[in-house]
Amino acid sequence: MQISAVTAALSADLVALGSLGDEATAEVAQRLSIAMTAPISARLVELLGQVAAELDSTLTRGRVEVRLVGGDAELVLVDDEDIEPVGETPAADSDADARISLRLPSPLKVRIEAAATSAGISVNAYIVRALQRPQHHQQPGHRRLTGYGRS
Amino acid sequence: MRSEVFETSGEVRLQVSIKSGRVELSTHDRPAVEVEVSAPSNPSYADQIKIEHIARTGRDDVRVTLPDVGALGFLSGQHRHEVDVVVRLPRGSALDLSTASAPVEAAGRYGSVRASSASGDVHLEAVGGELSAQTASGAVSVESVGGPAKIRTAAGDVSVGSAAAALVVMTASGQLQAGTVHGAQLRSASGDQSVDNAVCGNLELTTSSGDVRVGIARGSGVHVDATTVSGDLQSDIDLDGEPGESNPAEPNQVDLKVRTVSGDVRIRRGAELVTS
Repeated sequence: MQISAVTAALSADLVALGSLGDEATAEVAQRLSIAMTAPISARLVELLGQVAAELDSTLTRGRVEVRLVGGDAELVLVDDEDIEPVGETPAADSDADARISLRLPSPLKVRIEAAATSAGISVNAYIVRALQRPQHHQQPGHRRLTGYGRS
Repeated sequence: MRSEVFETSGEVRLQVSIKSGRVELSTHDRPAVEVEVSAPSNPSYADQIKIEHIARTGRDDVRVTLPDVGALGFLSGQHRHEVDVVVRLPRGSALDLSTASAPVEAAGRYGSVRASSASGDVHLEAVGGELSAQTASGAVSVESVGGPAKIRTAAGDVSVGSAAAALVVMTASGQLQAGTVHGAQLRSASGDQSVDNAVCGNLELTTSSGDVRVGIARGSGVHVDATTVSGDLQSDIDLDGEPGESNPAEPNQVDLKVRTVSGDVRIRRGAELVTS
């Protein structure tokens, strides 16, 4: 992004607008055009930060960064390494010898069955894998906190 | 000082549009709008202000406006447009306010409110209806808002005491502070965000470098999904619970989604349960 080109164009607009007035106005506009260059580029960078934050919130993975290169800025899409859980490989059904009879809400059961099917594993293996996953993912570089609680 | 009193019979809508000076509003229980315009630096400046009353069936429009001075007028001396506008109007009136550098102070209870300003701060006591506020560097503070609220600033801080309906706030570098909310979407680039007491609804907080603090109202459940790239994540509320089936006796659940890049996130217990 050519931030310097935008500030230069805005300065030129301001000087042109000022020249429509009297001599004093023209001079004020001339001075303002110089003084405003830095604040305008700072505001533009702020705006880019806001753009990045808005884009970020729509991404399911990766993030958007604003990088400053010389006087100009660029928006960069950074694709994070896979945010797969750091859990152990799921124990195969045959390794599991303990047993719990589990009561759960039926809509949740339906969701688990659907998720297990789409993951291509048994419902039992899916639940074991989910339980082995740490509740609070704390990975360097990208952290996530999920869960349900009551205040 | 110029002073006018208009008797009103319908719903009142006040429009104020000035550049600099100040706007001071308050409500009363009489069906009348009292307008005072003065210019402390030079009394003649008050003469450029247009004061109008347009009465229609069921509706009274009162307008206090500075005719367009244009960009050159602005450059050639803004102080020429400096006027103080003081208005007392019926409780529940609608407001449409626009200023450049003039701060707005509105005490009392209003209907729907639209306010815009460049550098002037906007303070509203109670807004019963919808709120839409926009500033560049001016701060926006609202003690309570009953309808949906949308607030945008570039650098101005935003503070909302309590919002009964959906609240949307966007700012680049302003700080965002909200008290009791029933669903909110807060976005900032570098400003910190703080919500004291989220009761229910979707709460979406997004910031690049700002810190986020969220309080969940006592008795409310919370479903958390918070991510950060380099910030810290912390919750005083135990998040190992199982989301229950929706229970009519406990309808309050907050769906909290937080996204930060370098900002820290802290989730804690809010104030006592607030009934909506």
